[in-house]
Amino acid sequence: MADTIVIEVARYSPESDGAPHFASYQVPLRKDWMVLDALNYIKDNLDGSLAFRWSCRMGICGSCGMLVDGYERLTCETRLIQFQPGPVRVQPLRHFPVARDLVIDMSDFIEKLNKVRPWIVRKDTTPPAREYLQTPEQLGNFVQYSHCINCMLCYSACPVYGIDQRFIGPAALALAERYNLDSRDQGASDRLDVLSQHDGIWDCTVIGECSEVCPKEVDPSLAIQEFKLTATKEWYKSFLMPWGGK
Amino acid sequence: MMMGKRANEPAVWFLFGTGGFIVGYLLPIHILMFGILFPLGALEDPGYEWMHTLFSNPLTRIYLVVLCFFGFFHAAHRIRLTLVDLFRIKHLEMALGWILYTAALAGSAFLLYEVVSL
Amino acid sequence: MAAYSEFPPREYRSEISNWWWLGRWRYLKFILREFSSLFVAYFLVVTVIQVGAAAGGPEAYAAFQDWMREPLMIVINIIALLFLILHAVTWSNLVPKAVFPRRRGVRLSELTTALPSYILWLVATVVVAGFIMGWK
Repeated sequence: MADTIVIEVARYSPESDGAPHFASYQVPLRKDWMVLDALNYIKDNLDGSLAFRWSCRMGICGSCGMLVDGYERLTCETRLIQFQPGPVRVQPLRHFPVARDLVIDMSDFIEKLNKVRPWIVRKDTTPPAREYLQTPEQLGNFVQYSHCINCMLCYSACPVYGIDQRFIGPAALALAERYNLDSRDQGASDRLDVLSQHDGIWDCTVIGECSEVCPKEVDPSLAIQEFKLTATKEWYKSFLMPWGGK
Repeated sequence: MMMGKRANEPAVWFLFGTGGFIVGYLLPIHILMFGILFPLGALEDPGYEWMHTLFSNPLTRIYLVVLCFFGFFHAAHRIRLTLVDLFRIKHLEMALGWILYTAALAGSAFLLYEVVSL
Repeated sequence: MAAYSEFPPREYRSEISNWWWLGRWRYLKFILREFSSLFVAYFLVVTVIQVGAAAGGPEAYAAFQDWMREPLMIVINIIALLFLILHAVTWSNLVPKAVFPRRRGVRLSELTTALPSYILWLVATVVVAGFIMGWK
């Protein structure tokens, strides 16, 4: 194993650059290092101006999503040694505006997330007498989709979102389905109205790259196809049995 | 329920989904026999007499109509979506839909007419 | 060259390439998978022609059989069969999973959802072949 490895990092300075460019840094190649450790080494020792997001460094906060050698990864979970002899390229997530270096502007995703109302929606007016009870089976219906850490790797991987950023996107749709399937929630019909029309579930063409890159195995693609089935059943029900109330 | 741009998509999606199963299970053997094995002589072609008898059977007529109706819609839907993704013509998606689904309907109607005149 | 601007610095936005589908093997696989629909449409048209030929009498059906015997048509049909197999396989692996994702709160494995589809495919193939060959 060599002592060092070269990292090519995308740099972009909005004050002075017209477009991103690559800068090369030589960092120690330690067998237990993640790509995030290498980025922190650069920032601490080589170039303090490098801007990137990170926090928990254990794959749960969703902050450190970037492109490593062309694929969406959490840099805190991506071992550096697998790229030897290098160089290894680190770039910001695709399909989002780049604010600086490896930092993207995620406001579009936050907006989409709010749009799907990712919380328990109740129609009752009084608080419950005790906590809502749930069987393991009821939990099992949505728990996989609740593992989403909002890291946005799926948005970077999705060509549909890349082509048209109006698409609500994999994570937001998976989280909408997470709440639709939660037995405590009563907001499914509200979400259905939003997601059945503009740029919702029907924009998805089942490419499946979102589920491939998801670091928490959420399988947002499955959530979307499930949602399509539900929406179709509801459509035919409202069409064939319009007297059914909500 | 608010009616938006894609609010009627479920109607076509159901046809697409059903068609996917139908053509997936049935078309391969059609192609293998009528398109490869019979023409090559690898398997003996049952011939006009049997094929006409088989196609004239009421159940076969229904089979053919179902195969072509759902199959054409499945293909039309998929071609529409793929053209939009490939050539980035989102603005033409609705127009493309009308053209392709009309073609699917026309193909199905023509087959229905043939099946009736068997 | 940094020029003074009273507006805040600009974010960099880039367009996705027109060739995005060549960027990853999985994207190309997606396009090929969807491309199978062209061959579905093709052989459905052939089937429509075949039914018309059967309705048209022995000479018409003989003409259809001659058409299918042309070398170019056999090559196209072989390619069509390969794409239809691609469709049937990718469909069986993907769609039943979305229709039956869980049983009593537990995720069903891909094998559990795909296997019944493959069995149905096999049964349908044998049954249709039987009718075409006139098996009694």
